[in-house]
Amino acid sequence: MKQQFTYWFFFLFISSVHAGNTSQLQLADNSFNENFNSNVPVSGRVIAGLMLEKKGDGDFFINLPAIETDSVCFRVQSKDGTYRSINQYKVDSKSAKGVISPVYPTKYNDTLNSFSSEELAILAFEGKCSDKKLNNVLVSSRGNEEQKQIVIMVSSGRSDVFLSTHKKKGRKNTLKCNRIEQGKRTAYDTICKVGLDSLIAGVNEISVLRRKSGRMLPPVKFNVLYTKS
Amino acid sequence: MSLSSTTKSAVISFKNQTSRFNNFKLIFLLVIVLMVFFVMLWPRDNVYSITGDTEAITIVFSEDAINQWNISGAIYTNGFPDENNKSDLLPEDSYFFPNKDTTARVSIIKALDRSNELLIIFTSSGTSTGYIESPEETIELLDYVEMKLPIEKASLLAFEGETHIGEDVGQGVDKILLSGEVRIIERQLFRDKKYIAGDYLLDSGDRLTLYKDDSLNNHTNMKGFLRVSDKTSFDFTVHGEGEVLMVFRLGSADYQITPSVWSRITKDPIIAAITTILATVFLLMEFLDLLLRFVLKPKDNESE
Repeated sequence: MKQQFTYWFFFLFISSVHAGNTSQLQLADNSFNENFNSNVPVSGRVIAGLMLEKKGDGDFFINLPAIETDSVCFRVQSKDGTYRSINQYKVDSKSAKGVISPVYPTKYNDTLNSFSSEELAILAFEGKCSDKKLNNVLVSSRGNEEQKQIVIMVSSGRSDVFLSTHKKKGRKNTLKCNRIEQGKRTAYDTICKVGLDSLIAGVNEISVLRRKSGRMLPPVKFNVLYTKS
Repeated sequence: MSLSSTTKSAVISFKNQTSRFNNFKLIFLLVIVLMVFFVMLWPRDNVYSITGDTEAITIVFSEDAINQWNISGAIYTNGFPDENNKSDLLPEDSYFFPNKDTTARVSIIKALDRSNELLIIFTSSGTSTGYIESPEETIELLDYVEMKLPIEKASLLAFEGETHIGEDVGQGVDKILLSGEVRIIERQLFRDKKYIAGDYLLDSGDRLTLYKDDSLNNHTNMKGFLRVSDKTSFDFTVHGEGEVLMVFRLGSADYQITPSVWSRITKDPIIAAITTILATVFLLMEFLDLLLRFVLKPKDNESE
């Protein structure tokens, strides 16, 4: 009897995990907003993307912690500015938690697959897409594979970029980011890499420091919400 | 009867001769086409020579003795400029020696006293960017170094390495290529001499990178120099052997500058001579053909 109970328990547990993986974040309104043009002047945020380092195959994923708001903005853009999508998703705070895939009915799947991992920036953040300030950013990925680093794509206006993170014991850690030199850099020009092991479960305060023409520009501060899977 | 048979044999002989001549012409034409293809498509060494005026240039240094820059009187910061890394003044006769793959980004900025100064940012991925040798000491540099050099007189900075000229225009970009010209110099067929295969004018805001081949994966190391004067931009001249010069331009698809096949026909003196001779020979053959037809053509009454 005890053994049977154990079997049933595992069956239900595995079923629930599977159900959790297959449920998707739904679009806030039913229209999906994306465009692909040979030349799009991109304007927007300093932070263009925050995602796991390596590109896997298949769907996009968002590492979704228990968040307070009921909406998430999900933005995908290519380095050369040709592809761009920006969509609002609704979050059912009771059921949506963990690594979850947003509904992404793209017409340009082949185009998206042709971009390398550093040529496509994914950004998911809590709140509305129209929000002026970026507050809480979620970790996104293409494919759902285990990885060791996150990359932050920065549109720096060709400044030198440093990333300031808080170490676990409260001290600040400053990392140098790398300027992209290859190809057209319309949407972003710099890539910063941070080890996942340096992130804590919960809220991670990050500052992007930009230095241009020998002077500091105002820092861009935001939080990375991260749950260890 | 005998006259008629003679006429017939003359007609047959004429037809045979004309047919043989036409076959010969066809073969000759084929040979010409093959030769033209050979001379036009045979790979050549191309030297790209780029000159112009820019506000920004990026150099990834190679290992070459030319890469040593006089930085006497520069104020430098070794590492990220904060309370731990203060700026220092370098004495006269100080030189910078980069490590291989160190990136230098050069621009001109306004100093606090509104004079112009040269700003050079040296970066490398995790390793040392190089070292400074001054009369007093040798300073090992970190992976990020900022250097401000007062411009008191015109000076030259010579270099060899992967070179990116200008910045592609985008949000927040304020230093770009102002003007420039690309000259492609190609080696002559069968000779070691060179000729100018094309001149191209660059637009303000273009960004240029030279590649070794069509795959656009391997950069060419270019040799060149910057001439820094009292302007807010600097003159540059760079040369490098390569296949494709990529031009990134705002508002248009990126395009490649390569020597055109047509320029080989019109500008390579050897090819121009070959094509002229072949065209003349072909013209003579046509003329000979017409002449033969006129001379050997059997009279109408003979053929009857």
